[in-house]
Amino acid sequence: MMPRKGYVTGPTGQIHYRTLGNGIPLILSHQSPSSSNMFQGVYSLLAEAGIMAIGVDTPGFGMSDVPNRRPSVADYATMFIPIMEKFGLDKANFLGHHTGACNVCEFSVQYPQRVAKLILNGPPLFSSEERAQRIDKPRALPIESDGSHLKTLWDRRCAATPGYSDLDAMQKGVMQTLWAGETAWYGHKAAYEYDMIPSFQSIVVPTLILTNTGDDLYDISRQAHAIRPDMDYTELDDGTHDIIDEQPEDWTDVVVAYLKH
Amino acid sequence: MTYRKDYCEGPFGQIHFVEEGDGPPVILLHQMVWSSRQFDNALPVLSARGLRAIAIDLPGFGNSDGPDKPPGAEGYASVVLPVMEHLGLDVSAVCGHHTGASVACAFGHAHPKRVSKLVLHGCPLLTSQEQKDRLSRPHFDQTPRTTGNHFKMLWDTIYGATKGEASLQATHLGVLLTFLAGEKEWFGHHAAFSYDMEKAISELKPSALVISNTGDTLHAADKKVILIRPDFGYAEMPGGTYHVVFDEAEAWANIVADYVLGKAP
Repeated sequence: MMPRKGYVTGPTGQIHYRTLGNGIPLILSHQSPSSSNMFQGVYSLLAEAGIMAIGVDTPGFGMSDVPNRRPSVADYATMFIPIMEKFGLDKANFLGHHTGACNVCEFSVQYPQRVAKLILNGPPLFSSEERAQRIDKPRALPIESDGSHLKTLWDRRCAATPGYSDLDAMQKGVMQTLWAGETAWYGHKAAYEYDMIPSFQSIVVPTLILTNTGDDLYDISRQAHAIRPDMDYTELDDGTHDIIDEQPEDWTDVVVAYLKH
Repeated sequence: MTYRKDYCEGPFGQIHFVEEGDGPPVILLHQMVWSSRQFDNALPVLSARGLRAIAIDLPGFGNSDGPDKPPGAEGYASVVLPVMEHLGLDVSAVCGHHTGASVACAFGHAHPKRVSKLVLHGCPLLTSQEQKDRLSRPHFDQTPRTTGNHFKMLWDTIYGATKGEASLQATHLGVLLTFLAGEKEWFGHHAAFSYDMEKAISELKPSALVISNTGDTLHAADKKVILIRPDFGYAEMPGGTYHVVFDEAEAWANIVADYVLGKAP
């Protein structure tokens, strides 16, 4: 079963989504640079488990319009309102992966009454020093007449994915970056500008921190749990930031168990 | 209407399309292996000329769902009517480039009453031997290599095919859209090379304009179309590659707009 795709209109223009299933609503927010396509392998698994999954393309990614000015995480968080209206949801569960975890964290702080449960999959809970170091990482690569920009991007993503094994997932990630084009760096920029720690500390909704031991945000996910030991915590073994492609069944089992318990 | 994207239902699943402008409609059908993004630069020009430009992602390309088997030109053409119904259009101009021209021709042949005018640019009117040769070529192996060389191989093919005369942006998008279409990308060209376009052209009822650019691989084929159908209009652009719609969008869109609006030729 393939998810159905559609658009809603929000403050940054058209917002694209994919959805499959009926039942418990779960809104999915992707890492950067990516799109709702990063959840392609789990829509049908979630649907079979009675979850209505809705993957949202963050403005500027996938098929969502590029905003006129570079957005902050607070701007990104507004995308969920028209999505909830479209599906007639007063309340939903939210899952965000990496930058997506920033987006859903911010949303749950602004609209706690609209969030049933929250899953932070690899929350980028960087200190202000770490954020300052990362904030000016490379931007879009110019197109070279020998096509070498494509290989450069490929090599970069491989280097940023230690222990990777899934070449199809790597290809998908590179393609999503290329598709986002010149503004592909907006997502990371917003994540590194976002002071997540105070927001994270003020979360009042039931929350699961989900990580995997091979993820680049594994250590920081453990630190997040140390800050908020009242939150639930689950880790999968190994994997990378492509964990959803690498371990779709195990990942789905954790998510479904948390939503249903 | 400002630029907007949408989906409707079709025979192979969801059909994705983009549109811009108000006025007489013109449906745009892309070459292979591309998507509606071929018309990124043409849409604002057509819209400024007072047309409602609608560019469809053919099944399996861009964001449209695709079939499991090669659908042929007629199969691709079967998505045009659902888009027209969705938008409440009884009649529209239909314009196609390369394989998109085969598809536009197939639609005009099947539904002459729904087509006000046809615009065909770069008609794949090949001999059966030429078609056979093209169909026998091996498909590009999209398998990702750890070295990233799969990108380089496709870049070299697409860049080489236009001898470096197309814009880098067009070449870049061509590479991206081929990988996005996935391993079934060959379905697209298969439609052009398995379609009896000569028969369809001979029998076409709607009036048509042939656009040809002298640097295009299908320039000679366009000339053949005019010999078969001297009643068709003809407009020529100098030089250019098969990325001319993207790279010289303003000149191209003005030719289309003049014809659709009845100003020439």
